[in-house]
Amino acid sequence: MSQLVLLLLLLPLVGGFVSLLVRNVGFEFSRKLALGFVLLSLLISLKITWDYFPLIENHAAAIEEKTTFVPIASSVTVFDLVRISPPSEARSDTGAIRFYIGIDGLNLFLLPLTCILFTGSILGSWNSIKERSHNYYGLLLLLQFATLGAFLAFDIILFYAFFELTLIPLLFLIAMWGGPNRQYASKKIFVYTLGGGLTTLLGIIGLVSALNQNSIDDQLESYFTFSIPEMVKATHDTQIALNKKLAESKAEQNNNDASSTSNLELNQAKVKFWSVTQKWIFVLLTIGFLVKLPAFPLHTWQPTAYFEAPTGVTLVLAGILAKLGVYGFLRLCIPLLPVPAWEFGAYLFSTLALISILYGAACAIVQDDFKRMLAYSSFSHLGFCLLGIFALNETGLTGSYLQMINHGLNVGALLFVCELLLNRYGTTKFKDLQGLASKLKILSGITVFFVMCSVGLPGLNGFVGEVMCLFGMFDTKNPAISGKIIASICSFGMLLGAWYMLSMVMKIFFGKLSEPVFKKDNPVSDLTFIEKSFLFPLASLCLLLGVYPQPMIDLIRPEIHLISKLNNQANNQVPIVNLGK
Amino acid sequence: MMVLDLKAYLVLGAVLFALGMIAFISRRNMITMFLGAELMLQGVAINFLAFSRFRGNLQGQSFVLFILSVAACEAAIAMALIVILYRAKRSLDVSKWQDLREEDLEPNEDLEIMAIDDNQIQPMPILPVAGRRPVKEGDASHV
Amino acid sequence: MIPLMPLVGGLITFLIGPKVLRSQAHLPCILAGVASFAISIVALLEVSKAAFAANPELSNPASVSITYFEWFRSGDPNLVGDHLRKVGSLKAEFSLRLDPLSSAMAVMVTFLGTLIAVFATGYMRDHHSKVEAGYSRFFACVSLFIGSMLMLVLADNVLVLYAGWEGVGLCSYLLIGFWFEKTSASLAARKAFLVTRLGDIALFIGLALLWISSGYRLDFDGLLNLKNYDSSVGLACFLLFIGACGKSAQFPLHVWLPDAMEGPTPVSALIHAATMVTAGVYLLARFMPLFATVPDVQMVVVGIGTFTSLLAALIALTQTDLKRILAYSTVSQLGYMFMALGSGIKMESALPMLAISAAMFHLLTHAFFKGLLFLSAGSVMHAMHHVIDLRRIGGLRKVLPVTHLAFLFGALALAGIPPFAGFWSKDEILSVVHEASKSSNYPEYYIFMWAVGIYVAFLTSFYTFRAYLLAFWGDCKLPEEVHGAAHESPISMTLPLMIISIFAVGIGFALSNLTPFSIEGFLSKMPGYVVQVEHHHDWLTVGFATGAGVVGLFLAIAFYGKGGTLSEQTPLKANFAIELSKNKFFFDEIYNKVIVTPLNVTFVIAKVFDQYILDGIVDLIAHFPKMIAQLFRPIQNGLVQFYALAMVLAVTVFLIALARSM
Repeated sequence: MSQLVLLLLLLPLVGGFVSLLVRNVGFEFSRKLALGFVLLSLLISLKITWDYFPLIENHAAAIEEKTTFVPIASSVTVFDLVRISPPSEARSDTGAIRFYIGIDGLNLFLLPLTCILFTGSILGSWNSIKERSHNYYGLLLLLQFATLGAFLAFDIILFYAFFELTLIPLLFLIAMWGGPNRQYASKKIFVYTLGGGLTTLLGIIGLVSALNQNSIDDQLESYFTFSIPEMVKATHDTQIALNKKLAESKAEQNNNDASSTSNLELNQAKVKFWSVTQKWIFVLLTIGFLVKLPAFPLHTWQPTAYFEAPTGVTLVLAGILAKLGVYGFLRLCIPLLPVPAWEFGAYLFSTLALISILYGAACAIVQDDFKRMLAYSSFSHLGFCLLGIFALNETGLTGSYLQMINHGLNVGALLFVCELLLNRYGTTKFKDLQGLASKLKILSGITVFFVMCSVGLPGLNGFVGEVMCLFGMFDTKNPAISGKIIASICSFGMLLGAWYMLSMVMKIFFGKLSEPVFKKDNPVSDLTFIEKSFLFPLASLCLLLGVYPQPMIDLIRPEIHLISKLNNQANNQVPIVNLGK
Repeated sequence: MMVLDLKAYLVLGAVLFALGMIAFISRRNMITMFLGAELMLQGVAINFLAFSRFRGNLQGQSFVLFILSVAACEAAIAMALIVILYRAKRSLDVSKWQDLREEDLEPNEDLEIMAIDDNQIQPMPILPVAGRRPVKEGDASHV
Repeated sequence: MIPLMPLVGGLITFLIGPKVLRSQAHLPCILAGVASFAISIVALLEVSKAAFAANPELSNPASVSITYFEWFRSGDPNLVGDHLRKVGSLKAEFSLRLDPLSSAMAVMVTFLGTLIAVFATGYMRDHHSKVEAGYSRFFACVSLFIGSMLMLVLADNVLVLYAGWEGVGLCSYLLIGFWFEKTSASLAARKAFLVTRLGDIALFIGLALLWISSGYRLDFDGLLNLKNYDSSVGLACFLLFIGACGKSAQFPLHVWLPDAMEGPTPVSALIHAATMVTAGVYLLARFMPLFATVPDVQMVVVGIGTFTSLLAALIALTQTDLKRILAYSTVSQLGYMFMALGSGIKMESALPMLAISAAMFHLLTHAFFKGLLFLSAGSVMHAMHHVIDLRRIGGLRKVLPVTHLAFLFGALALAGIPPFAGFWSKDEILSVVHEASKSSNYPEYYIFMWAVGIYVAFLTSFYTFRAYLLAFWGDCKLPEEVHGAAHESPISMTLPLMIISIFAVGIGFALSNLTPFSIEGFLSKMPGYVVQVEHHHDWLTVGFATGAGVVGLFLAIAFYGKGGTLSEQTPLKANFAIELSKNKFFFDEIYNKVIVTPLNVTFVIAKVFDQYILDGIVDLIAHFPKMIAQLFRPIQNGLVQFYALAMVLAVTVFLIALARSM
């Protein structure tokens, strides 16, 4: 399996370079070439997912014993990239930045999602990108490489490298093939996300070096590591040891031991120092992911970038790259720094999520353009992810994960539709389009279907994620936030979501037919075979995930359970007995 | 023979250096500026020599030899450059070369420079091309 | 199994309808409807057999719950009891439940749904049997609707119920917007979806609160048998009630229903009279064990119910669109049902059971007679080429004899004239309210509600017969679209009319307390309720209500008996009250002014804030480096000497600093 994983990662890289190098072949060839590569990677990712199902049996058996992320052994590829110090005797994976990729439940489903959306992106650009198309597709494939790499990475520096690498193809894709205001948009997204990313890098460096210093607790082994699983274990052990010591010295003081008072003070100071350190690292670490997500108030790059980018790129941007932000929270922020996440993160970020959900929806309602509306809707929907994460319980985390996948599919499909409209009419402005349902019947039908997915109709995929996020928040055990009130307010996001989505349907598809003339010699037709072959499987996938998401939840459960368990233990949360109140 | 102490050598070096610096900053003639720079270099060289002499090793001396050879190369290149610059502007005034300033800034103009009439500038001496018989005055080529 | 069939039917129709089936697209829908009707009948018989063969050893003989698969779940699958309470997990199973309440609803839904689908095969064609555009889309939606509705009523898990609840909302949206080329239709569709969705959100929050206070249960058994009630139950019940208000078009969320008449008439009959709007009633009946413990909420329920029924009846008095009259009448009758449900106070008394059975009784009879009225109206529309304005039609009894009779029966039933269906159920409701006044802490309140109810009965009868007389009596008046060639509708439309007529006439008596098929007897087999053993008929109520109905009938005859045009015969002089009623008490306008406009303004403000202020700040920050750089630009003046001087000065400063520090 590890060869497969490696192949999956390298395939887009090779494809990207091939596409960049093979010039003067015309756009027909380069798009076919890119499609071939991306379909191949899709097949591999599906195969990997498929192979994972039987593995989960033994994986899930040890669910309670797990103390850190453990990628499935057969999927791991690892070698040293930069060795800084020789490995310690006890732990072989310390002291070096390593190329360490693997698969566990947390990134498993993101791989096929990535491949699906990149397929959609290429199919969406099928007829619209004709100039310098080999560059376009090459960059797109490189972008896929970087994205897959970020999902697969188990080394924090490797993760960061891939995380930032996504920006470079993105910059060129927007700046070269974007809309009229593309220079501004590409500069903005680049500077914004790079700034966020560098802050995250600061956080990462801070965390690595904080773990290396044994000033926190002299009894713990001091080593430094870049491996995410080891870091999770290390922060967790540190926290548990500190908590234990503090509790012990408190107990001693109760016995009125004379020397114990200073001991207690010392330990309290240690705990305080460590918690302040963690807090700052947490803030730094989250900023990059907040920008990527995006969350209020760091979202202003998004409408411009989504609007100006070629739609194929917007599709990837909204469907996958935004998920890197959510993934960063799930993989790094919460498990690495459970204490600040619990103590002030929950409060801060659930508020931000609340604002994002409602504010994004409010902005979406008054947009006059389909694509721009989708940008804000995506902003609003990802607020639910954030909300679910900071419920910090299994329900919310699961919901957040599902919402991540589902939003990817839905917004991908809707942006694909957007591209189809652009292709046919050259515009997605509401005032230009009206009553298309009477002409483009299948297109309208499938759009309404995805709109319903997106507004969270039960039985379709959007519902499950949103409901679990909200239920998780309703049930949060965190005394810092009043989950019921926040979740209740956020529920109105679902109403506003229906509002803008249905208004869009009403404006574009209902009413009397009126369409602009875009290409005179090219009569507007309903879906072509290629378009159908992307949208229909996607629709059935949405339906499947809406009706029977449980197998997927089972597969991701070990990791989700782990995150929530680490959190509870670090915060001394023996599950509270909650009898009715 | 009077034995001078280290201080005297150092003062000499410092004076040379200061003179060179003043020349470099205050003069606009490129050749003079170059001479100033050379003077500064020699000031430093004297420092080297003095320390070398009084510490009793040869490292400073070898450095000075090095400096001298570098200065010679430098002089060759610098003079060539100055000639090229002169040819472009017909002047040795360094303040005629302000093109590296920020785009929207006004050039720093000097009335004295403006007063120089281009016609008054002496033409370059005309030399016959080597290996050929000199042609008549008036249609000679510039070197 | 029951809901699956229409869902599959709907899906099939969606997929292959437009191409393969064309004008036969109704087949899967009707077949599925018939099949699930047959199964629900079987289920009903099973349930009643189990119910009446009361086996004391089984605690819950008449209620069967089947789990099909796990829909979604978070947390450990093996958590139960106290451990579950500690950790907390969300566990949504796809499970259905069969008990008297749900089986009765299922039979009604499938029966009416199938008949209405048959009716629609006639309605959705023009006069040359050519099908309308979107014929298959229509039947796919109807089929999906029946499926979702069945899921709603049969659900044993609140999330499945919620799924059905939203599913019917979706189908309603699609069907109201069926003629999407009409702007008014698509506006109405959106309005319906959003207004009901507002209720849905409340329902959702309510369910979430219950989920927590019941110790993470989502199935009805766990939810309804709460051991320790806490304060949040009252709030949750109130939220559930708001949800029910949205779906059942109660004040203040009633505004969508009259607009929803933009859809094809069979849809109005199916969704907006017979089935979907009763979902709220069903929900409250289902959650009666919780509601009965919070009398304060129940008082709100009864108050809102009564107020809505009065309000809608007053509006219906002056409307001129036949369908709109029926729509308001539906709102009003649903108000009645809420009145009944609101009377279910004190779990230890027999009142909750009485309340449920009265509400369900009226729900069933209303479904039949209102369905009948709507279908007759549809038949009129079909014949009149979609003209339904009472000012433009009249004296149709000779042109449309079958429709006329059907409408007459429906009207009699609605007006509560004995022995038609409405008589029995309406009296039962009023009796329950009367009964509740005896055990409530606020007897005057319930008595007042009762009196209003009787007044509404009078209004009902009056406006119903006003519509009836205007449409069918008087001089024959046909709109010009018809070109004088009006004729009775095809058999596919009249047959369902006749069948439903029979039910509308007979079902009231058949299900009343006087027969062995009594709905009360049937429903009382539901576990956990106290059953009243002996019946005493509340003759006072019966007398008053019937009297009110008859008076209304005669008044209507007196005013409108000769038919004729509306404008001349308006009984009351045009005054403020009439204007108010005609304009539906200006609810749409008020909502527009008070809610929609401020919200829109907020949204615009949000957009402006985002685009200019927030983004402006970001751009401003991005400008800072540039501005700072601007400060230093003059230094870069290109003068070599200046640079040299700067270097010298800098070195000097450093040297001095070095010297000082040593």
